[in-house]
Amino acid sequence: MEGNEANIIKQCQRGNLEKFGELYDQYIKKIYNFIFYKTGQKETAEDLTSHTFIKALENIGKYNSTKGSFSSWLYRIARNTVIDYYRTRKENFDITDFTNLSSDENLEDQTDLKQQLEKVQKYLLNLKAEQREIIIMRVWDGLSYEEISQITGKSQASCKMLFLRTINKLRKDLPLNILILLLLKL
Amino acid sequence: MSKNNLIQNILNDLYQYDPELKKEEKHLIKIINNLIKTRPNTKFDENFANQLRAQLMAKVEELKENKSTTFKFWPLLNLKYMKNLTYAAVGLTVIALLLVSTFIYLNQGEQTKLAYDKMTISQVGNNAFGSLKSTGPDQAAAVNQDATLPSKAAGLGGGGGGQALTEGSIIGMPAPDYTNYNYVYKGGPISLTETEMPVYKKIIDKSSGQNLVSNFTKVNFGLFNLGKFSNPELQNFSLIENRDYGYILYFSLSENLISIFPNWEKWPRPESACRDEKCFEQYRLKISDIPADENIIAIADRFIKEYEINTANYGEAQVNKQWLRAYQSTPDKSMAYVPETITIVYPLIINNQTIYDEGGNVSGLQVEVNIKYNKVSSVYGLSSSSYESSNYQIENDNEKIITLAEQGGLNRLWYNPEASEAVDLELGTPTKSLIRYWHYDQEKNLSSEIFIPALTFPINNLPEQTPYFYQTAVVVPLIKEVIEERFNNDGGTYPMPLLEEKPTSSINPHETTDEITDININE
Repeated sequence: MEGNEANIIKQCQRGNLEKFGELYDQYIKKIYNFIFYKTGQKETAEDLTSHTFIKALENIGKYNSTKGSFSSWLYRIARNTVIDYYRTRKENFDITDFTNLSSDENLEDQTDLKQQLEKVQKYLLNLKAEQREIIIMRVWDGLSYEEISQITGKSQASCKMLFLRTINKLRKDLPLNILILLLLKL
Repeated sequence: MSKNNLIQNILNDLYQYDPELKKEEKHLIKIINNLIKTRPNTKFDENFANQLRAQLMAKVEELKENKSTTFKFWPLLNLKYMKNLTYAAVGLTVIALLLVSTFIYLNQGEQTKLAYDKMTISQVGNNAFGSLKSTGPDQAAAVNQDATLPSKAAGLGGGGGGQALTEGSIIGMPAPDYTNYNYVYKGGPISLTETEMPVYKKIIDKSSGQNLVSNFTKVNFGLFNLGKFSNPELQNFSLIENRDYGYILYFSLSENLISIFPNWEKWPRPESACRDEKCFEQYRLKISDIPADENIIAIADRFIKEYEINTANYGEAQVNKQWLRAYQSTPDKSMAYVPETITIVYPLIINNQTIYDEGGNVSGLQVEVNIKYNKVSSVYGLSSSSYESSNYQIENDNEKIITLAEQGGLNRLWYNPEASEAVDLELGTPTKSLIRYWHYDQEKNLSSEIFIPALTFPINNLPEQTPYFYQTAVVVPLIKEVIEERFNNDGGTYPMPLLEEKPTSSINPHETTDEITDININE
C-alpha cells in the first residue's frame, strides 16, 4: 500500500484530487477511532473527523514525504484538531481523556472483564498525561513508535523509553492479567 | 496489520521489558485472544462515512475550479437613486445575487446530492439519547407547584386607556361556563408484554450546510472579507419564484427542513382592498364552496407529482377536518368560519409505524390546498429521513396505563371544581403508535425531535356540538421517564387565564371581587 499510497498522494498534488477519496477510504475509520478515543463522543468525533479530512484535502499540496509518513501527517492534523476544539471551548480537558468511553456495550455478558477494565481505567488515570497518551496511541490506536514520534514531535527513542517506563510502572501497580488486558485493549 | 502480527508486536514490547515473560507465552497468547474481544465500540457509522466522502468530493470540485464570482456591490450604493431604495428592495437584490450564484453552481458540474429522501435507521445502544426528561433539577421544583387556579378569574381590563390601576378600578369578569370531561375506558383488555421499546431520534445531516456554503463564500460583496470568518456553515436560505402564483422555498439546513409557501406578492388578494364588512363578505367562502375530500386530495396529489416531491416515507393522504368540527358546533352558521385552505396530511412512516402528534392526529407532510384558486399554496414538513433507534424502558402495567388514559393522557384537560356540567367521554381500545415528541435538553439548551411509543385511545363519543373541543383521542406515552415527567410534575393543562396585570396596589388579584366599588375614571 505504501508505494500505491505515495503514488496516490503525488497524483493529488498534481491536481488529480479525486484520488483523495482512496486515501480517505483507507484512513477514515482509523482517524475516527483515534479521535473517538480522545473525545468519547460519537457526534464530536464525527464533527472533528470531518474537519480533519477537509483540512487534509485543502493542504495535501503542502505534505512533504521527506518529513514523515502520510499516516503520521494525517494523525497530526487529527490531534491538532482535537486540541483546537477543546481550546475554543476553554475547557480544562486532557486530550488523552478516555474516561467517557463506554465499553459497557460489549461487556454486558462479561461482568468480570468489565470490572477489570474499570480497574485498568483507574490505573491509567494515575499516569501522567504524556504517559497516558503514549499508551493509548501504542495500544489502542496501534501506532508504531515512528508514527508516534512524528505525531507528537518527540524522538523515537524518547517514545520507546516512555512506553517502557510506563509499562514498568503499570506492572508494579497492576496484576499481570489486567496488564495484558490493557496492552491488548484495542 | 493482521491480528497475529499485532499480538506478536505487543508480546515483543513485553519481552523487551521483561524477557522472563517468554516462559509464559502460550498462556499469554490465550489470554490475548480472549481479551481482543473487549475492543471498545467506537460507534463508527457507515452513513456518516459515506456522507463525509460525498462532502469531500464536492470540496474537490470546488478546489479544482479555483474561481470566484465577484459582485461589486459598492458601486450600486453610490448611485443617486439608491438613496430611495427601500430595505425590501435591497433584500431582493441580495436574494437575486444568491440566486445567480446558486444558478452558476448548479450549472457547473454535477449536482450535490444530499440524500434527504433516503430513510435510514441506525440502531444504537439502550438509552443512547440520555434521559428523555426535559426538566432539570432546578426546574422540577418550579413545575411541582400547587397548580390550583383562583376560583374566579379577575380580569383587570387595563387595555387602551392608560389609567393606572388602583384599588377601586379592578373589575371582576364573570368566569366562562366550564365543562369537565371524564374519560372512561370502555375498550377491550390491554396486554403489553414488552419491557422496552425503541425511541427514534431524527439525525441532522450537518454536511448539507458545509456542502453548500462554498457557493456563497465565493461571492465577494465588496463590503468585507468573508474568507476571514472561520469555517462558516450555511444555516438557511430562500429562493423565490417571481411569477403568478409563484412560491417561496425556504431551506433550513440546520434542521434539514424544507418549506414551500406562497410568494404572496404574486397571488391575488382582492380582499386587501376592502374597507368594510360588506366588501369582506363577498370574498368569504361558504360551506358549499368546499370541494369533496377526494377532489382536494387530487389537487395535492397533482402538485406532488408535478414537482416530483418524494413521498416514499409517507402514507396515504388524509384531510384534516378540525375546521369542520368547529363549523358544525357553531350554532349560527352565518358566523361560522370556513377556511380558505384545507390541509392534507401525508402521515410520516418510520419503521412501518404511522406518526401521530400528542393529540392523536396523524403527523407528517402537510400540503395546504387553497380552495379559492384550487391550487396548492404551501407544503410543510419536507425533511431528511435519517434516524437513530434506541431502546428505552416502558410502562407495561396495564392498569396504570388505563388510569393514565382516564386522566386524559398527554393533553388532559384541566379540571374545574366549579364547572357547570360534566361529560363522560368513552375511550375505545387503544392502538400502538409512535408520537412526535420534542425533547428539551436543559443543560445544552437544545431541542431535538424524537418519536416515542405510545398507546392512542380513540374517543368514541366526541361532543359534536361543543365549540372548540378538538380532542379526538387520548394519547398515553409508554416510556417510563416521559410518564414520570409529564404525569407527576404537571397537574394538567389549563385554560388561558384572562388578562391579568400586576396591580399597582397591594390587592391580591386572586381575592374575591365582592368588595370592589365603582370605578371612578376621573381619578
